[in-house]
Amino acid sequence: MRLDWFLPVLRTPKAGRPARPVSRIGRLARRFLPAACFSDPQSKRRGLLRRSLRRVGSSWLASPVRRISQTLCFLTFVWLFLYVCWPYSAQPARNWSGFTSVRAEHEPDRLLIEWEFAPEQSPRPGAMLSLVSADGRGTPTERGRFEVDRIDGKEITLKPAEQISRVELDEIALTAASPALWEQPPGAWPVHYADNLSSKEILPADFFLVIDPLVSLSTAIASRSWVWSLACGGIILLVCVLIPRGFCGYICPLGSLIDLFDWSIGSRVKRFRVGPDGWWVHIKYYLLAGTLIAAAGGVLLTGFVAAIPVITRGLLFILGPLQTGAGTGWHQMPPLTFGQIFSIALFLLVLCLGFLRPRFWCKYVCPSGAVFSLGNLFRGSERKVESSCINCNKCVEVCPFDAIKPDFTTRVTDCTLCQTCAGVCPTHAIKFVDRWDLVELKVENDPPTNETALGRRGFLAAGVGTTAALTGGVGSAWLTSVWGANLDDPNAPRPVRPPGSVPEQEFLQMCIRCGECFKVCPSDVLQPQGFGPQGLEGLWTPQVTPDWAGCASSCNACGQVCPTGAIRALPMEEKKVARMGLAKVNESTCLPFAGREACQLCVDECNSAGYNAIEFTRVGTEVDEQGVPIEGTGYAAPVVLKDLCVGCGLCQTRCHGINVAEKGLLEESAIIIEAGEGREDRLLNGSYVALRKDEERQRAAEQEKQNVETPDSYLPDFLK
Amino acid sequence: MRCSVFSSTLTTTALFSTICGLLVSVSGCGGSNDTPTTNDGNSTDMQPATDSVDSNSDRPAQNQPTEHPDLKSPFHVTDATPKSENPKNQKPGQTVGAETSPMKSTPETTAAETATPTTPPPEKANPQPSTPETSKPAKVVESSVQRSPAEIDALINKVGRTPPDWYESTPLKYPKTLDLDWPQPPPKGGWNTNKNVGQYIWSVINENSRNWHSGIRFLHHMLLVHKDNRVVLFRVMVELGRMYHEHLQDYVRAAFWYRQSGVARSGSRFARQRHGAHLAECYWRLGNRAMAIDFLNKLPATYTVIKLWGDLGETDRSEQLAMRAIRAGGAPNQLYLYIGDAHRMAGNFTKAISAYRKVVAVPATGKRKQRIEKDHKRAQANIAAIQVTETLDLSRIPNGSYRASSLGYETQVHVEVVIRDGRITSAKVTQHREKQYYSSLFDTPRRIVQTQGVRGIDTTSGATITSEAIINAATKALTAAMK
Repeated sequence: MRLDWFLPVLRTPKAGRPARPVSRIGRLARRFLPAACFSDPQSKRRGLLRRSLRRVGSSWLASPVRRISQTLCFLTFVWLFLYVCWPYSAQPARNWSGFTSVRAEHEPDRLLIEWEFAPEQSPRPGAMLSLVSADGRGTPTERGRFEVDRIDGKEITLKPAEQISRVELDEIALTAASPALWEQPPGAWPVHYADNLSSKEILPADFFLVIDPLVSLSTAIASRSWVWSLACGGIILLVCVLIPRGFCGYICPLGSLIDLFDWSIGSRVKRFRVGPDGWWVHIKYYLLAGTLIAAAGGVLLTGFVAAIPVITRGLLFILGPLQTGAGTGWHQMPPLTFGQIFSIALFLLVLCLGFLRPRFWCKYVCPSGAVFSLGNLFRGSERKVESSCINCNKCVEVCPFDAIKPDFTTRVTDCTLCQTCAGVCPTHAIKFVDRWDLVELKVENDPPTNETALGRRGFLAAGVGTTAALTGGVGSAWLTSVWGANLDDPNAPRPVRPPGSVPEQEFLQMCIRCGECFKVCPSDVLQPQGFGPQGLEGLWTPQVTPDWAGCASSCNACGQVCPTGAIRALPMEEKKVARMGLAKVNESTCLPFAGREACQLCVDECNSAGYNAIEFTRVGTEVDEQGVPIEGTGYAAPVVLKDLCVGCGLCQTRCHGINVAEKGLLEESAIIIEAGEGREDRLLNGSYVALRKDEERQRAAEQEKQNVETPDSYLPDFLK
Repeated sequence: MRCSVFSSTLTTTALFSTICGLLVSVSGCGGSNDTPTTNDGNSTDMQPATDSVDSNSDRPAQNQPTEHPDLKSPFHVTDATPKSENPKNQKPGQTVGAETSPMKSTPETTAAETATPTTPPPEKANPQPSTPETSKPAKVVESSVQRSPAEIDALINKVGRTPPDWYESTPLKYPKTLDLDWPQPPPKGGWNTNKNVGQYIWSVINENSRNWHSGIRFLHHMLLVHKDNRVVLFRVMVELGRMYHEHLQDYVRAAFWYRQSGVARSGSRFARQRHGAHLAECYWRLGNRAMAIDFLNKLPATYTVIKLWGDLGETDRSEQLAMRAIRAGGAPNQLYLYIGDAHRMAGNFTKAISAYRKVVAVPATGKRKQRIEKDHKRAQANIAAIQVTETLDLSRIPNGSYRASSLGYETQVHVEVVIRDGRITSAKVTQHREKQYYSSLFDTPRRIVQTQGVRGIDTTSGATITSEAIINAATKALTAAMK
């Protein structure tokens, strides 16, 4: 088995030797591609592909497949991040009205509906629409689902979505009063944010996160449970048995970004350069050990250092606000917190490691890379050097991962099989073959590497590193218990978590702090906790910030993009009843309660979102001696209905936006979402709909108990 | 958007009498400021009517209304389930409205349908999952439906005894803390909607349209709880009648419960004063104007009666009674408004304007200052609307949709009217903050489309202010749009 992707087929043949395609692929290529693509051995003129690749860059020439794969993966990552996770392309369901006539047509059965004036934006052909007409009381009623068949000027031809009899069709045409076409049937729960995400997710938005094996591995260890993305991590590890550490060389978007940084900036500053050898070369293993030890202690710190969370968070905190600001208006950009600035600083630090050596992070620090390095022990293929090696040292100079020893053999745990070395090898001495292929190998330790299997210094370094990892892991576990969420204390502050979050303990153990949910959240309801009430343990975890915005009723995106399942991927029916908190009216400040002025902002907001969870009650009404309310006293004040409130926070957003920010009537919103025991549903599994039904049954039973003394009947006996 | 700075003062006319009606049932005492003259008999909980203008001098002959024989009939219908379509939840602030329906083949009113209870009710084909409970009022009486007194009696007795179709699926729920004894007057300790039944009804049920069905369910429960206590039974039945009437526009059941409470029977002058006009209105809405007038003639001239005379088109009668009441010390701001409303409906715009001007001339002083000020605003808005109504010519309005707003009970009511080829094709309330008086939000726009104009539209019972605000706003929008 050979895995030669550095395109030796394009190489200039040796002078005097006949041009001989090296492989079957090469022969095929020569047959189908024009001759101009290939080098001409007589004139020694390089082929078109080689010339153009050389123009792009020498590493592109040396290993084009790897560079192309890196580019594609990086662009995919950016596309997922900037496009798929961009919520604002969602459009609420549209309605079209202003039709003058509806008539039925048979063979085939069609409904023709005509506009008086065709609007600017008419429905697309193929769209599924509801034909809605006003019933006797003017209430919009669905008459049927139709597919837009054709649009001719003002006339739309509709095809019934289901088989429908002629009589029915005629009846619809005859009786459709004020016909309208609705994207969603009347009364349906809006789902445009959810639909928008799912229609764009050709590739899961969290694709790169779930294939970072350290993400799923450490989450599973920390939460002591099966995490679904473990399967994806497993698959990529299996792939990397064939292509050792191929993730780092070919896929990892952070690696590609670091490559870009090193090429554009890092390579211009030489003063910080360090040598190829030093105490730092094994940091990644100790970091991996440390985070896994911490995970075993129930503290998930991996997200701070694992490759994909690092780049996701970095882009999130740098590009995210800029995109939001530029795309929706700068006032929509949430303010930066210290926690975010800290994250940006760490991300820039990761990039700046490139001043020390190219891809310093990947080679020496990245714990995700360490997982693959360890996986390399089970490698199925590897780089081998044949005896034709002329010790020219080109491969050592070009290797981005310092994976070639001074004797030009391979440091198997570091090699990412990027094949750049083979691309620059003048003698074709470097082969990528399966591990057991015994090619004509060059002699090892020639020239001498001066490396020993485990010398005194190595042993010491390993000892120190292991100790550091141990103390780091245990220490951070201890630190979070001291400066953490303090879950045992019932009075400890509880942030409002996204809908569908698992119980807080598990949440903190499963949330990898990648920030994907912030990116996908419309109007930034979810914002990262800084070093807030939950200290280090809550750093960068998502919390609902209702003062800024409330959770959109038509969105379930955060759960869909969560790579670890800390936020469960809920379908809309589940999400709309999943309680993330409970609104509480502050009766000492709420304007009607305080007797200051009439206000019903929260009630209106809740009703228009469709939850109907706040109702009115009269307060402050004075009564005279007979108990008659005195005219002009009291206000209609909001009362939150516990069984309907899901804690979306829209009410708080409104109260804060108007009464606090705009009018300055209040110091803080008079209606606040609170989380905590009994106010939120934090389920590891199971249905929220079922939970609501259970509660309803329970309430009915209780009411039944309350009513048991009086039998229930519409009329009392004496009227029957 | 700004926070609504709406006054929650209890203002004006029919609305107020509605509320007062309830307050009396809250308190059992007619101690409202609105009683223009002193009434006799202020003992016990059977207090004189709040809105009684003159309980002695102006009362027509004391002959009692005819006892309806079938009231006592044991006839009980079990199989007839009248249809009243599952009302959809309508949120305040949301667009509500009426549009032209060219194909109105079936009578779609509750009353019309309850008239044929033998027809099995068609199940609503597509129940809306996201609209949990009630509140779009089912509306009602087309003037074209005519019924004889016997038919109306039969209807009331038959359908009145059957539960509405939403009844079974409406769970009985009320706060455990509620004192079901409903003592009158409520115990000291101030306003407590979780304890005092009257205050609970007034605030929690009336002001939250989605509680209307469960409120009625609760009152039926109260009927059973107090089946031996006539005093509380009376209160419950009147409340039931009022809720069926004003919230749901279910005039059949409203009439049934008004009658049960004793409004129509002898020996209950108080009941007739308080709710007689409501019962008369039910007769009218059910399709017999003569029956309504007949019954109204037997009632003392209370505010509600005066207003209903006006709504019935008996402008002179209404004015005459109102003037007499003013002379007897009734609130002029309110009574002149009635006169103005009656004339406006009848199309006597000059007289209407002069009546409204008299409202504006009433000095806003004393305890009811706020109230009078609001009446001033209403009268002025009405004058402004009437002055332009005359010039309104639909054919001069280009196609398009036009918006305007006018002051309602709580805040501005925003209305959108669509004109196509000189016809009003739709009218809608696009924004409002009204709480208890939703019925007009659907009814009045529908009437505007029906009559193709803003003249002579009778206001919805119990929601005069909102109705008028809608008419005024529509007038404003249309006249501003004329070329």
